[in-house]
Amino acid sequence: MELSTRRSVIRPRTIPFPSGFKVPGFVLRLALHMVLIGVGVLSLIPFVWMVSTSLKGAMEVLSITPSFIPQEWRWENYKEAFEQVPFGRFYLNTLFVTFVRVAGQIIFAAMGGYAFARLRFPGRNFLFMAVLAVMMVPGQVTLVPNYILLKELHWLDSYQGLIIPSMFSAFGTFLMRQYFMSLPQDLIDASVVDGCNPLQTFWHVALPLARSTLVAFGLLVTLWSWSDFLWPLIITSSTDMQMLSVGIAYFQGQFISNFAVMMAAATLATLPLIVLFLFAQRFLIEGIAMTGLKF
Amino acid sequence: MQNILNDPMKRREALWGYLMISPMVIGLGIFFYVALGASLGISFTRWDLLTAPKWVGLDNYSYLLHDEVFRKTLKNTIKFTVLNVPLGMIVSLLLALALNTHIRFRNVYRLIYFLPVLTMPVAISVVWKWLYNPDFGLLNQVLREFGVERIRWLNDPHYAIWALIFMSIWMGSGYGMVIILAGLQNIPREYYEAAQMDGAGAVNRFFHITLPLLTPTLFFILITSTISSLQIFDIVYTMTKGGPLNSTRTIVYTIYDDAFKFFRMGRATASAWVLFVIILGITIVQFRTQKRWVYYE
Amino acid sequence: MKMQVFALALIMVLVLSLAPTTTTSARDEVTITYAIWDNNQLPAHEQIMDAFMEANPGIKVDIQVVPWGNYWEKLQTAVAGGEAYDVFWMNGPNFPVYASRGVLMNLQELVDAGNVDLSVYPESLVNLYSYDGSLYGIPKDFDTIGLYYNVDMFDDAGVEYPTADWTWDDLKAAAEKLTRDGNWGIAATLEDQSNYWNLIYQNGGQVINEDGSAVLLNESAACDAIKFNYSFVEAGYSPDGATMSSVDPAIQLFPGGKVAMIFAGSWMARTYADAEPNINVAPLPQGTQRATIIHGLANVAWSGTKHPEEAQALVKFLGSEEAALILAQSGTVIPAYEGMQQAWVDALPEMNLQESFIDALEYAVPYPTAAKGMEWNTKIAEVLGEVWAGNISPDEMCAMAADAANEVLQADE
Repeated sequence: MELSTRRSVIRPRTIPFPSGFKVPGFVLRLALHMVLIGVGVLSLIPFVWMVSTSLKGAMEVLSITPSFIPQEWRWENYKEAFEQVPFGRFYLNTLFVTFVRVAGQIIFAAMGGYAFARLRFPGRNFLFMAVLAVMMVPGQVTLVPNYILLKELHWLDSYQGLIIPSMFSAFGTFLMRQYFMSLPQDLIDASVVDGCNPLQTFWHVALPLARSTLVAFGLLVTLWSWSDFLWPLIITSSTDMQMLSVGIAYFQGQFISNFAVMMAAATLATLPLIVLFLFAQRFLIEGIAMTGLKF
Repeated sequence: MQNILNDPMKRREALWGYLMISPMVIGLGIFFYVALGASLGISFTRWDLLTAPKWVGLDNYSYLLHDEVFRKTLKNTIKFTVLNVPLGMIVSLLLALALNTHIRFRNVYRLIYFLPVLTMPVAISVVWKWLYNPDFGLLNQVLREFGVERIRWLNDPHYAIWALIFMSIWMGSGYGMVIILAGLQNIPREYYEAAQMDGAGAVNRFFHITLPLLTPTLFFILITSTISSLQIFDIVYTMTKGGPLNSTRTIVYTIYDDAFKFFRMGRATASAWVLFVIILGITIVQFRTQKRWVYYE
Repeated sequence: MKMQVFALALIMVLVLSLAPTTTTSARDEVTITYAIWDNNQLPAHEQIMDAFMEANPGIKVDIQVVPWGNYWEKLQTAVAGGEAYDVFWMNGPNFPVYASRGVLMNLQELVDAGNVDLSVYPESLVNLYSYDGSLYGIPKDFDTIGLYYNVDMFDDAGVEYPTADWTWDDLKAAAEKLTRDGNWGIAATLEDQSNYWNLIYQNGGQVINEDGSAVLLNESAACDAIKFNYSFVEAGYSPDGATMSSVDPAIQLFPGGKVAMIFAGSWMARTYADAEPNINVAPLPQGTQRATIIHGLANVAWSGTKHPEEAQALVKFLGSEEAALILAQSGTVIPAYEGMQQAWVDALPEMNLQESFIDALEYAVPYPTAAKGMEWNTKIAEVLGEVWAGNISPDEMCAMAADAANEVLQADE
């Protein structure tokens, strides 16, 4: 109780949102809009084509100069996506794997980041540098050994194999450390006086304050995990274990009628991320701003 | 060190510290450091995963050193990075600056520019292949209106890497934009107000306040996007498979090809180590030179 | 404190409880996996599995469709990981690689015990899947190559339909007339098995020498055949490599009505019969002689399987008459089992399958293989791909392709 009142007293420095500048002059504003719309169109074309193709008939997809608006709106493609391959299963797999990966990355990164930022212990700088160095290791270097490790553990083609090696984020640790460094020391001292051990201080004081940063980091991890391709491609072998990215490759370029269906699958696969972003985009910028992504 | 062990308070703090970092340190230790060591070992062998590995010493490295294709691969990777990173940063910066105004519909614009980041690369590259098709792709159809002759975007060694860079900027600039937008919000408004009182114009304010105060953010993007550009793989895999004439073959594509198509684990891990050393070198140089242009408050 | 311990514990339990899906249920039911790469054949194989499971209570088969583009990568990583499929499809060029490394189960004892009668399969396929005097794969199907054509486009251009008597010149003349209204007469693809290898044998050339140790593409007969194929691109009768690499000719351009003719395998007949344009097929045209590439797949079992008896039972059943009949009636591929060709031909009566694919067996040429896997052929494809895209002159292509392939074949492992 005591802790929660304290939490509500000390708010993070609030960032005025939205902020920005006035663009002077009608002509200048109009010109800016023109440029922004132009870039927007460029940005949207591939996406619009994906959605429009997903609604076309098998024959229309193959027409050489396709139009953006389908001749007949074939919603059945979406139904077929679920019928032709266990798309529902891929969906659940992706949701589950992403959820646990994100939860793991957030908890471990926040806990580690807090300790690196706020606790003193011998070897701290060395260990932090060792964590940072991981950011420079291309994942391809560890691909083969990790594959062999999973084989020894009998984790190939399993959820553990998909999830556990992907629960540790050096970037996340760095990000959270940056944030926790900016917390006022009085706040932490106060909770120590209240008799909190460091883990309790972390959990009850620091973590709630970091909400925006956690959401931002979680979003970035979700984005990455959702389309992660190479690792699931290599370690999974049964259809039941596939994630969406590999599942979509299952449609690709194989058979005529599947092209529109594949686009339907691709659209469906993207939809949750768009919805998520719509809800969370506020936090994304705010969270990154609070950490101040810099070295 | 002695002090810490003697002072129970400090000892307790240290113990908590170790406890809290332990999941991360153990996880990264196993899946990165042990794996890193193992991959170094594998790089001294010839191994197809089916039969037992054979120790070949430095053979894999000397092969790479003398292989013309690998040298070209290195050149392509560097070329891609050198072009992609600054161009991508400029686009991100311009988008962010434009959206950091009170212009109408900026939330809509922001969503639209971020949309490419949200699409799945495996799926969207099929669309891009269609856009780049020389005979019926949208790009050439538009260019034809302006009298430009048929360009074989993905199949002409002069254009292929540009086609990939363009696509990569399309996919990535929304990401950079968001980070820069966040950076812009951290610039205290008082600076601008003070500058305005001194009569500084918009251009002046940009070069004397916005840009300098944004350099730490730009430096962050520079480092991370350099590392990820050097590791470019997925669009090469889906769009060009390294062709034409190896003009888009990159290091990671070669690693993938060697490891999971021809099952030469030794050579693949040797290439991976070459990449690692390059990334390490470039990152160190970037950190060394940051004093000259990065301005920390 | 309790909260975070609980949260951590929850995640750990969540993760660890999801043990790999080794579904050995309480009853003595054994589940084995069967990997295939052709989604078109999935319905037929589901039917075959139903029949198998009915005949063999206690064995459950889980079919895994791994798309062709990832199949060999996935298979090799799965074998190396000790988690391979119990039974899976094998093709000719990859067979020696897997057989020589002990990945495949030796099926000779099935033959010796009289459980499998090899006389019902074509001898060439039995030989293809034998290694060191033992059988490792039971032939599943076979395929030959034919000339598919878009009937409507021929009618519109007023060109006679292809016949068994067509020569290369007839093909060229027809391609020229059919190239109109922004459409192409033919897709001169870079497919080896279904395109230019056939031309090489039709011209009296060879792809690779007898013992598979050297590529012979730079000999004049073979080289002229490749140049003949390229001449369609050069003359504009065929889309070039740049176009064909992003829009697949066999599954998009041809059934989409943009290309009037294409060489393709018997396994495409079902797909083309279902496509919207009116498509029929004829035997390949002849050069200095007749030739079509014959190839066939086999079902093999993994030597490391935990259920060898069940895997053997499945391989055996897949080679049975009952399974072959189901496959034939689906119209997807021609079963290797003797006498099943007619059922396949009857499945698609609207197409000229008998003459194009079955009668073609008389002059069929086996699929050329080397002892060392597929990399040599990848090298050839790289060189020819550049020619087709317009980046290398066709004058030097034969020598370049042969050199690149021979370098791989002669490299010491």
